[in-house]
Amino acid sequence: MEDYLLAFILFLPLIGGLIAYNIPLKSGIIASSFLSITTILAFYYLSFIQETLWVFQFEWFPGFVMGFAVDRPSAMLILLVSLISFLVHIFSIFYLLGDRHKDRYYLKLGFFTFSMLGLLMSDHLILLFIFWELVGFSSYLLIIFWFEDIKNAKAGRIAFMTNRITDLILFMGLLMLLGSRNDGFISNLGPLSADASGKTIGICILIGIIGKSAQFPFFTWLPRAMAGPTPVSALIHAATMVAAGVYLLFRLFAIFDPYLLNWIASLGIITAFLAALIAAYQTDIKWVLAYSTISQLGYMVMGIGVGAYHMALFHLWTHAFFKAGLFLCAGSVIRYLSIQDPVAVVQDMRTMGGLKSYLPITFCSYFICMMALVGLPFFSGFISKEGILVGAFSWANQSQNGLAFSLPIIALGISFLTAYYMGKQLLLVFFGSYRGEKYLKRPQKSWTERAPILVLAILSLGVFYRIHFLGGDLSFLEYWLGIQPQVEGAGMTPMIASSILLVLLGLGFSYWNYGRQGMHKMKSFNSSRLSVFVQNGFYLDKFYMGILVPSFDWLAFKTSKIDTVLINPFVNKMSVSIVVLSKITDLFDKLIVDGLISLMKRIMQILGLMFTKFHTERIQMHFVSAIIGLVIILVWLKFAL
Amino acid sequence: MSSYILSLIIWMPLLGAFTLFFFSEFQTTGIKIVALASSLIQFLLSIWLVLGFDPNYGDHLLTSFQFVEKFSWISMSLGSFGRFNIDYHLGVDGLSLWLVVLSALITVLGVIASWNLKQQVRSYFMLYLLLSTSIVGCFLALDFFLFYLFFELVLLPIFFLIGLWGGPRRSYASIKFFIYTLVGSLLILIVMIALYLSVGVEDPSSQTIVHSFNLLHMMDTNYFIQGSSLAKDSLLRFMGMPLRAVAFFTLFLGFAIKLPIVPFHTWLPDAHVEASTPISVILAALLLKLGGYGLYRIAFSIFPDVAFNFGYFIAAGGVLAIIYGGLNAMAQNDLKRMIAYSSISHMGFVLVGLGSFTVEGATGGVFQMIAHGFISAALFLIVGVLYDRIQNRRIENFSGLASKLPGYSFVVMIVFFASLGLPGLAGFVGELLVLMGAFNVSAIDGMLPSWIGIGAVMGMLITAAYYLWTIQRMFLGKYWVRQQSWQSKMKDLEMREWLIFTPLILGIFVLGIYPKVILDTMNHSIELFIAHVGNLKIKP
Amino acid sequence: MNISEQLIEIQEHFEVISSEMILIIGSIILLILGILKIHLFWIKRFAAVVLLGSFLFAQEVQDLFFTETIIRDDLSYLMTQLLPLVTLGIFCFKEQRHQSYEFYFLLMSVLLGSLFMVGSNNLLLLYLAIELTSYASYLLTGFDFKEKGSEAAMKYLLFGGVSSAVMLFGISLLYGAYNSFYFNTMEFSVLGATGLLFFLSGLFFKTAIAPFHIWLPATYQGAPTDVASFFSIVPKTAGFAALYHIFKWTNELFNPFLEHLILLLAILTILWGTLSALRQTNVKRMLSYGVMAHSGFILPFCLHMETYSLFKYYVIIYAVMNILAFLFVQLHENDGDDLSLSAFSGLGIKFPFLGGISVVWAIALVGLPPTGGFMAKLFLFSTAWHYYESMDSLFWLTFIVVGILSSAASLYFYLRVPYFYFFKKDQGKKVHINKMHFAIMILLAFTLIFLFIQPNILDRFAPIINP
Repeated sequence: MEDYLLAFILFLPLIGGLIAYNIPLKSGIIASSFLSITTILAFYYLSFIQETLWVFQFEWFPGFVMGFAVDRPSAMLILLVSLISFLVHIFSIFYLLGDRHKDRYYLKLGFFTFSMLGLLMSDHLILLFIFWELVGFSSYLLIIFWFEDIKNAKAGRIAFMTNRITDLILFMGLLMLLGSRNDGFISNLGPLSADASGKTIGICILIGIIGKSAQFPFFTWLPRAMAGPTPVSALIHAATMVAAGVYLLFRLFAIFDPYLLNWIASLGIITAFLAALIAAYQTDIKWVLAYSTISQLGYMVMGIGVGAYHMALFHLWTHAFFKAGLFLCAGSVIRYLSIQDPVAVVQDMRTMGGLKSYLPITFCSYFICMMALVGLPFFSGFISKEGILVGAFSWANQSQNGLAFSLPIIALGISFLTAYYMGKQLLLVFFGSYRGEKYLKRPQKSWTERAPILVLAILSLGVFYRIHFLGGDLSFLEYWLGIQPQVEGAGMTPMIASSILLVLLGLGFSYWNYGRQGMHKMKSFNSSRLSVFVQNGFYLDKFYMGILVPSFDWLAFKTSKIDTVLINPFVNKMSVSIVVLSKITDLFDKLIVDGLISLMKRIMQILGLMFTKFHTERIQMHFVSAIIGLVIILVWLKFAL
Repeated sequence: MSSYILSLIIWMPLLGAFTLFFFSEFQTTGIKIVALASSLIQFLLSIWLVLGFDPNYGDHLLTSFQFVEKFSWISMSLGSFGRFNIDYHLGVDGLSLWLVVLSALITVLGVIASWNLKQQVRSYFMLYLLLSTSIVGCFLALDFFLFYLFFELVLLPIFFLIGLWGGPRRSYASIKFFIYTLVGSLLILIVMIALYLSVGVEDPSSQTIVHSFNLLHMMDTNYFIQGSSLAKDSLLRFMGMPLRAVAFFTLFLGFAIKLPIVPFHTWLPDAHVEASTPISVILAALLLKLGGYGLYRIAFSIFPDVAFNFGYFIAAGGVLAIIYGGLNAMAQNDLKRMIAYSSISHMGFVLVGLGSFTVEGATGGVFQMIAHGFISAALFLIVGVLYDRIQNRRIENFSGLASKLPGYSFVVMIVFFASLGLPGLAGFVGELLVLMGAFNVSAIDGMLPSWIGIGAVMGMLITAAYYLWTIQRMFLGKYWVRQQSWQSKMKDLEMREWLIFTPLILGIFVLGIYPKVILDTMNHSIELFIAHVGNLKIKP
Repeated sequence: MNISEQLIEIQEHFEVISSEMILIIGSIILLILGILKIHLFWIKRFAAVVLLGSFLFAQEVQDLFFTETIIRDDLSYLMTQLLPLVTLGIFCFKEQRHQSYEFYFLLMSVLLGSLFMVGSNNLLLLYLAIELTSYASYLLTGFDFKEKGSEAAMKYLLFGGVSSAVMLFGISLLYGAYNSFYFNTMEFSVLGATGLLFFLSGLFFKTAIAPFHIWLPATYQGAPTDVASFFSIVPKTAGFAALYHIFKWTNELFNPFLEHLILLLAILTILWGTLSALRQTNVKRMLSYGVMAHSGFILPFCLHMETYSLFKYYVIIYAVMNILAFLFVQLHENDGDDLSLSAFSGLGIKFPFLGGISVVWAIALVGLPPTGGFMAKLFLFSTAWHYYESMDSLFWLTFIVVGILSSAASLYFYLRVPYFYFFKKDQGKKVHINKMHFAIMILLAFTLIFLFIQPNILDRFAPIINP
């Protein structure tokens, strides 16, 4: 029974995609209905799995057994993926209205969902890697969906290549791991050995994880991947695929030693911080969300690194809903504006404004999701984020090193940043007045647009996860994840309070920056704009502006420079140098290897010429040469006998 | 009937070729139908062979051959040198089984692919069918002489098929191909002779030693005559190296030219590029496998002791081919040339797998050969589709083909990604197995350093880079072709082309998703092969 | 033994040389027929009958005859069977304007001389036989009465004269050393060795072993093609057979010097022949260098009597493929042609059958399957490897390596004819062949392929009488 159920859950999206591909006119409806079945089955299954761990093993080829296994965390994520995928399918009906290649789109989307579900179900390193790659491949296919614009094609390629690099390093790690022990079942894995080979394996796997989850220094691909349709970004680059790295980290938590975990934690926090910083300076509506995603993923990675891995997984869950919601809202905005004004740069926030009254549902949902993201009480993000923060603090408490406290403190700082850039986005997009050139008309009402956004927004409310907004009652976790959360209770209250405070501060800061002033001025962001804000009378802020903002600015500038000056050129140079190298080897082939052959031929020809010379001279010469031959033989005879 | 099935499989195409004598040059349809029929029958027979094959037959490499046919063929007195014995000796095991099926399938597809041929149809198909016979013969021969005969016999049809129906530089390419591979086969010839004289059994009636070309005797050290040049106790040396080692390297070189490995590969891009599409398909999908198969069946099985000592160098050569081939592929502007170089790169995995001396690695090598058979056939057919239409295949002349030719682009995507080793498609499994072998060995007894595996993985990365780049340049972006006159000729795949691509793509999927289909029948033989190699490695 | 006993013996022994006798009588009748102005058509038929008779009456005995002057063994039996057949094959070539009854007479004289060369156990008889072949050869070389042919004949005559002188000098030294003309009485002595060397170098002149081969290309090129084909087989194999008999007695005496010398000369011959052939554009000249390389291949095996079956096999296949090759070339020859490669351009499309034939002889001469040429090379290298193995001799190894390399290189020039045939642009040439040529070429080509599939068939042809 379970076998069939799981098989249905796994294959229905793919089958739906295939059927949808063959019936282009109804593709959206068909694919979505298949997904709805998947989602319902996943729900059903989740209640089914409570007690038992489901295992299915098969021999892939002789002597090589692989298997699926589903326990409660993965079952939960299966539900998450199928649900969000379902919503995205629905939203896509609205978003791709009138696109000629919808059929292809739903096939790709179904394929992606299939791969992602497979990834979550697999219990074997190689099987996991197979789906891991398929996920990357299908995301590539979705990014290049509008391939006629070469920029999208390039973006897809770069995204896939970055993934491929880290994936192959992961692959090496997995193979080495497999080589050193007999079976590759994740549920059977013990800790890595402490020697150099164990370290190598750990680092390889870690690189794979940070590549997929877009962590520093591999995060540049994610904003590029925004070239795909926005629902795709919601599904892949916010909720599911990028979370695969975090999921794998969660799965392999047991095999890493504490030393490596500390590194993971530091890496996570660095990423979270840098990404948040960058997000604050973005103008593209999707890029802000992309960097925000990176930042939140860094948060989760840090959470696992400090040992709060259940909390990190929970954050993965909550983040999936609100970030998908945010992306879908952004999609709604973009779609609306591009219908109104086909030639405009529809993703630039500087040209938006005042959309609150045109898209009220979108605005409301956006607001809820944003509140969840910044982590205000009563919203889901608050619970999970505070959980990670608490974990980080208790980890820092336990560690001997005083430096360890920098982690939770930076994490707090990120709360501020997050609130700042999200507030800014809210203000720029929805408040004020429209800064574009066209006159805006009212949008047509479409339930396929509104329903998914609303569902996601509602699921971002805190009530679904915990009754008391500050207390230690984590009934959802207990029930669904089957864990006993270690919450330090009251000792952490100041920390939580300061977190809320920082969030509010961030929101306020953004409001001061962008809310108070007339929106018509918002054509660009620069420090001079910020100094005007300082002159407007916040003396406390003046201190910040005089010292922090320039350094802030400098830091942000420098950080983005890592992108543009260091990493991109490096990648470019690498690819250029590989091309050059390949040209050289090609030349080598032509000149040296072929050249040697030609040289041999030449020598043969010269020899041949020499020998033919013999025959064209006068006849006396022939006698002479023959006699010389005879004489030589006679001389030899004299010595030989 | 089933006791002669191997002979039937081998000679079926040749029978077809003889039938063609009764056709006039102008009955082209009849000629094509005969060619198709005989190759189809061959394919069906090979499927029957698979159905009758017992996967767990025999408990030693030397006794694991099935459907054996053995007749004395030439038994010639050489005066005081005893008798010269050549047997007609065929047999199949798990290693060769699927290569036979692959050859039969590719032959059928090649006939369909050459369906539109207009000039000298009869000679073309006669040569083509002769080629098919000799390739399958190679895979089934258990007598070294017979093997060598088929191995050499491959050269002539290919020489003419490239030289007469090829591209503009065809004569250069065919001569280059011929000379390269002839040198290779002459190297094999020397070793064959030396082996022949070293292997023998005493004839009880006349008290003389009867030499033979029996491959199974050559694999068994007991059959080596004491004191002969290639016996294990031989004291003969050549340039300070034991003669056995020299013989192994000579054989290795001979097959490596065919495989090919860097730096003996330059015949390959030229030959592939100048050959017509069906012939490049045969070249890539089958001919390269002869080299790989020769390494398995002959070089490694006969000289396991030497091979084992040089596993490191063999695998290193494989890695060199992987990376070098990949880098070169990246530099090419001609699509066909790029694919030709990628073949070099992929064949490197066979060497790495062999050099690892593990069951996984060896299985991976064979699997890689079969998977590459499917993939490379499809790749060259892809080039052929373009070339058929507009006689051009330079990458920079096209852009955005995906919007104009969706079906074609669909096929291209599948095949390209299969070639770059996307899991779920055939290319991945072979590479996975080879790398498992390589990393296993490096983890367990350190025979291969781990950089071998790392290098091979780097090669996969390069492969991904050039395929993705090509997809982007040719298939994505705005639709554009260089010349106006091409516009009208750019049509999507027609029925006949789908007919060719469908079995290949099906194969790619089946092999990628459920490799057990073929690995089940192969596994036992490979285990015996590795046991054979390992058995000799324990003894000093 | 007194005179009468000797006479009786001679009388009895005539039966043994019946093939030679048939040839002698036949050629005399042929001359008479010629003088009687019988039509050439009948003369040719008559000559063919004579040859057939000499083939059929070859005697299968093993001993010394005519007071030990004539030796009969496996080898001579083989030759008395093979050489008349080869000559018969030469008759099948396209008729040229130079042919007259003298032509057939001369061919038969050469054949007669060759047969005596094979059968002689006596230096003097050998010398006489060689001179018989030589004189007839000089005449045949210039038989198309063109300037080039005459020049070649002149050259050949000059070389032949010198080599005869050297050979005679060698014979005199040998006689001085042993006081005998018989091979089987020789012993080791330095004088004998010197004499033998002079004598051998004379023989090497005749068999065109480097560095005494210089006459060969010019002569072959200048001579009519059928004559060249004849030269390349009949006197040549006879010369090798004579060497066999000489070495049978002398190899032991001068070991290992003789072996090393012969191997060295063989290697030199192979190299010289192959390398020179590489750049030839004239097909006859190219083939003649190929012939030379083939002589190098077979030369070392004359040293060892036990390689007889190899020798037999090699010579038969060599004869078949050479006849085929020269016949093929001759069919393309028109008057005044110098038969450069370009004469073959693009004919393959019009004459696929001829193209196929050209492939068969080319790969047979290179030594590739599925032709007897491959089997011949295979046996040859197997035997060579056996000697290398048993003697651990660097000379043999070098021979094998050079032989293999030269085979690879020879592909390059032999295959140029089919290459031009198929791959070059048509130049509008035409080839006229009649049914007989067609049949003969098919027969020869199939023989070549059949000899690959069933080489043991040769066991029936001139079997080893005394295994």
